[in-house]
Amino acid sequence: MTAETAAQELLTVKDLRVSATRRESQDLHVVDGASFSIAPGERAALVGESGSGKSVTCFSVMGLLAQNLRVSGGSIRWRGNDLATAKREEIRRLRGPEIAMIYQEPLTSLNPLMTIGYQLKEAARRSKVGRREILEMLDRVGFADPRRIMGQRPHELSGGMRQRVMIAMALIGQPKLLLADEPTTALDVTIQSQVLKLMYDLSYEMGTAVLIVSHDLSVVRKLSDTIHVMYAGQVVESGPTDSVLSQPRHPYTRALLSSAPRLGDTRERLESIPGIVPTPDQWDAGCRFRSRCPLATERCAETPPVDVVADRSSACWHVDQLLAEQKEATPL
Amino acid sequence: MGVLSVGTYIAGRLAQMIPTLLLIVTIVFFLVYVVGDPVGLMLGDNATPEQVAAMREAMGLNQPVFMQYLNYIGSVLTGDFGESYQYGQAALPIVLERLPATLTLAIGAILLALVIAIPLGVWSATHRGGVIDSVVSSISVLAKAMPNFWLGIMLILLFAVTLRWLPVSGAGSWAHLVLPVIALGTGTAAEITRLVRSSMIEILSQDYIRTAYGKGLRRRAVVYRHALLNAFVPVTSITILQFSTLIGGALVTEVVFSWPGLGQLLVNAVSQRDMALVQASVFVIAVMVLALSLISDLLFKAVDRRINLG
Repeated sequence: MTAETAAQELLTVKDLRVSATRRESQDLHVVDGASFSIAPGERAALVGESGSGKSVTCFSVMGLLAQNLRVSGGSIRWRGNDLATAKREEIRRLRGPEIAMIYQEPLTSLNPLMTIGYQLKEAARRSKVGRREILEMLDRVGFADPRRIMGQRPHELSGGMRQRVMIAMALIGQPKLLLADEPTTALDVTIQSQVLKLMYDLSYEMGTAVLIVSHDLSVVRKLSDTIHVMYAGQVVESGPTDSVLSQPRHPYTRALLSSAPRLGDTRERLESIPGIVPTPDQWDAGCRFRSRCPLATERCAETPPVDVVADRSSACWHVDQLLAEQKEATPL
Repeated sequence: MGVLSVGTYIAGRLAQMIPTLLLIVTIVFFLVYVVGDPVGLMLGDNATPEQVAAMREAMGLNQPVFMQYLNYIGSVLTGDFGESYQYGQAALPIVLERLPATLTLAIGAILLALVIAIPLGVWSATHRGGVIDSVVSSISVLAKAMPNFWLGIMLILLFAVTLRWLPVSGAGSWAHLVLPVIALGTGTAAEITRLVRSSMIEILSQDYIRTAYGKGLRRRAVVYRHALLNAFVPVTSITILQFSTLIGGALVTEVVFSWPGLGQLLVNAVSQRDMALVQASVFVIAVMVLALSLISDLLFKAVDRRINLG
């Protein structure tokens, strides 16, 4: 990232480290060296396997980490302010009107005893938005009878409806950034794309940037401008979605791609990545993917250099070999 | 749910109470029967066997127990619990006359308990592991372990006998109410504090609490609106349950403080084998407990629309 782009960035996360406090041993880093940035209106994606620290990264931006977790290093710059060192009250003021979030579990993310209307009003009040706008918003997220929905409680709505309420709640204040933590994982396959489309259409209309956390590459491919691949607490590769997915510069990205189904796929079996993501206590300074990487050599025990080429960055000792192998193989 | 179905629900619940009450009346009847009849006590040590026999016949106690039982149930169904031999008048009105005093004591104790328990429980839950949390936990274990009659005696010794701030016993003014309410409410306060704490800890880890923070709500709004509302259901159900056991505790407390309530009346009636009075007291207490459980169910319904009555 160059100096001139830095000025226009909305969010810049640099070398983020999140640690878990443990009672009887040293602190454990669950995110360790994550860097990426998001421009206004950009549609970005954070991808990677479970346990790579995607959700925790989102929650640290929101200042909503679980009690035993804390940001212990790096910076989270939001329009010039560092949220990693900001006071709690400062971050609280950003939530809603500036940064909003949609969560993985629509079924449990709404207060079961409060009406939808009440919960929406709470969010709207933060952004000084009135009842008329709330009804309008409910209409925009696809409720035929917004007035009726206002009086209902979460248990009266389906998962998809609740997630649409969550979208309305998140976007009511026209935030500058929307964090979406696997927003459709818990939903029926049939309505997943519908909900995603809604989320992206509304964000686009409002000029809201979106950072989606997902492990579904087919979703990311269609809906994101940029992609950040996370592995074991780090961002191992970043860049425009098309170029990253067509020509990965990190063996982990390549492995993720070959394990994901694609339209018109003729392979009989999907490849799986051998081994499992190392747990945080196994992380060291070297490349964390090396235990599962076909290209790994002794050199990989050293910290891989961050390789910046045009708008892409990646961290692998063996980029050249990776690119050479891709040339040989038939293009995807 | 409309007004009509709430009405139907209440009617159904009232109908269900009848067999329960019948069972309670039956159990108490046989318990009293086992304890023995009051004729000996009534006539004193100098009574001749003839006098005793005549008295027993007059009271219907010479009949087979089953006949006695049927006669008894028959009169209970008409609202007649018989006559208290001690007072020489119908038992039920005597009991009902004492009821307000007991209710005053019990309600006072519950209110005191809630006023103490809710803030303490919330504080402990939101400052888990802190100094105040530990102190509150220790005190609540202690408070729960103290028998209320012992606490009552200690309170009398300190505030009434030594400091002379409050009356030792009896009734008649607000000052008389203070010590018995504290004696009775302390254990309940401890119980409810622990419950509020554990409910709040569980609730505060829920996803919707994170959502509330995510909207940018202040901590106070999240804890006292979003979380406490959800704690209402478990806390109310325990509070009402506690109210029932509190009535039991009130019996002892009333004796310690000579509080002219149902408890004192019942203890006295048992020791005097005043069967009619015992029966009527137990019946009234049972009705009260059943009514409380109905009220609590209706309350939940009002707060938590997910609970489906019926």
